[in-house]
Amino acid sequence: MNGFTCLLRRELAHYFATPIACVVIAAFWATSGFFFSFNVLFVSAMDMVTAFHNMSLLFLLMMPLLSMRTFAEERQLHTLELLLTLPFAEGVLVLSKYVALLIVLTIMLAGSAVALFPLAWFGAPDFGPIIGGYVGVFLLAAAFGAIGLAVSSWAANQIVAAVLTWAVLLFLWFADYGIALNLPAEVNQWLQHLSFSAQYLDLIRGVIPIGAVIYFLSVVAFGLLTATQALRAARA
Amino acid sequence: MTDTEPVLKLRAIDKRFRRHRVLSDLNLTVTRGEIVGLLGPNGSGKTTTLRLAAGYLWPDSGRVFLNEQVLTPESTALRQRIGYLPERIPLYDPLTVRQQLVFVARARGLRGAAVRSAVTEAAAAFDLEPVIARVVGRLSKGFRQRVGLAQALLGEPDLLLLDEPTSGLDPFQILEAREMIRRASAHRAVIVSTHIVQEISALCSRVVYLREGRLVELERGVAAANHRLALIAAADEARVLEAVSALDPAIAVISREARADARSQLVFDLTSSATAPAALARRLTKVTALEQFAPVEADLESALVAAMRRDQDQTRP
Repeated sequence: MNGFTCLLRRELAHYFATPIACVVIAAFWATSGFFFSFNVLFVSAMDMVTAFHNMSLLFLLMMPLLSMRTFAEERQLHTLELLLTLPFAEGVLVLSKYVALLIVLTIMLAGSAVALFPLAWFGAPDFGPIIGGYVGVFLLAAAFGAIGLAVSSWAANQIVAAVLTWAVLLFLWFADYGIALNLPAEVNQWLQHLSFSAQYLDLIRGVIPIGAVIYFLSVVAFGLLTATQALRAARA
Repeated sequence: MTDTEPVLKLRAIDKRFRRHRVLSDLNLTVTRGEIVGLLGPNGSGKTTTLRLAAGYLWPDSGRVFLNEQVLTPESTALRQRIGYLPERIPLYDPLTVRQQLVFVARARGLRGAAVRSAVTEAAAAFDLEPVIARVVGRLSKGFRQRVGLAQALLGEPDLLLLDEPTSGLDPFQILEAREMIRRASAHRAVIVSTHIVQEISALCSRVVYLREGRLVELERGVAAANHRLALIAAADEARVLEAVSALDPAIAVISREARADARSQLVFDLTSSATAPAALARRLTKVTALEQFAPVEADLESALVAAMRRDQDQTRP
């Protein structure tokens, strides 16, 4: 646990010692705030479902920017050699970086919660679905982060990591569109199960189906195990 | 623990990268208080050897022992006893020197006041106080090297592994770095990988060199006193070489230099030959006019080159 805390502290210090985390967080707050205000003022959509949908798309764009540096930057700076010779297990390394990413993600989501004040002031929102929606968006973004971490652990540099993560996320987002390609029914069924967009629609409405939770947690577990495996492979 | 106990033992190490065999049946023991120089040309496997000893890479076969315990992927606690300075110093540019050192101290298992005191001591030992609050990315190469050395020594490791520790430093910084390494080597086992012979001469108590993935012990070979060298200056280099080869093939040429007066200056190693320098001189005067003939005192560089050449000749099929 001590190694985990030590790594987590360093990782967070690193995030906030560089402009990237601050820029991504600020951009997320500004953009999600703009979309929320636009919907309230011009579309008269006084709910969070649209906001959660917009946030999901923003996370699709922004999580690769946060996750790209996790391991690819360590490899570029040759600090991966330091980390792998210090007394840390590979799993602890991966987990600490992932938890740091989740902390940044939590800050991003917490800032967006400012939108709840005008909602509560001018209306009487049902906070149950809103909390459920936040949990859903968090799960979705956590899955994006785990995929980004896994890609970064194999990538030679940060740009490659970001581009490959976008490619994987877009594939998973649109996987259920395979139906338009007249693929065999079994393949379509698999793609439907694999698709982010098919899984997250209930989540942003505040409903938390156990199947979707299992799906996103499985994606997270797969991402973290893949990253751990990448570090082990780097030693071979 | 005494100064003669082995800290690191590499046993029958084999390492391949895809189809390329980098190390083959490599064996090495380093005891406490020893500074072992790991010599070898570029690509000979020096860095791979250090990475294996540091637990960064795992061998395909063979074992690495640290303090008589096998180093395995699971033995994270054992890795606390290793200080490693790779050739490209692994530092986090956005962190301050203090943050960098605190991170490594905590990673090596230090806590609370022990972290503060270890960082303060390291900063004092490597003259890092003036830059302790400075961002690592803004440090000069010399200071980066000092931070690298300081972090390698945090937590008092038993084994210190230094890969090209003075590469890229100016002459003044090289002297400083050597002094720091010398101080750091007390009561621990040190391996210095380099291809600079002067580095070995200045630092090491023992030398091994890597050739085609195998370690060759030069412990005795580097003793300059054991070497008999002869310097010859002559107008006709080809005839001299021919005559020497005909006299005794065991006489190896160490260096050939063209002088400003159009003569060639050759240095021969007579260590493996029964031929006396005087006999060599007599033989050569019969075939060509010698401008100069003198037995020379072998410096370490010449001795090392001679030892390596001899080893190559002996192992050549």
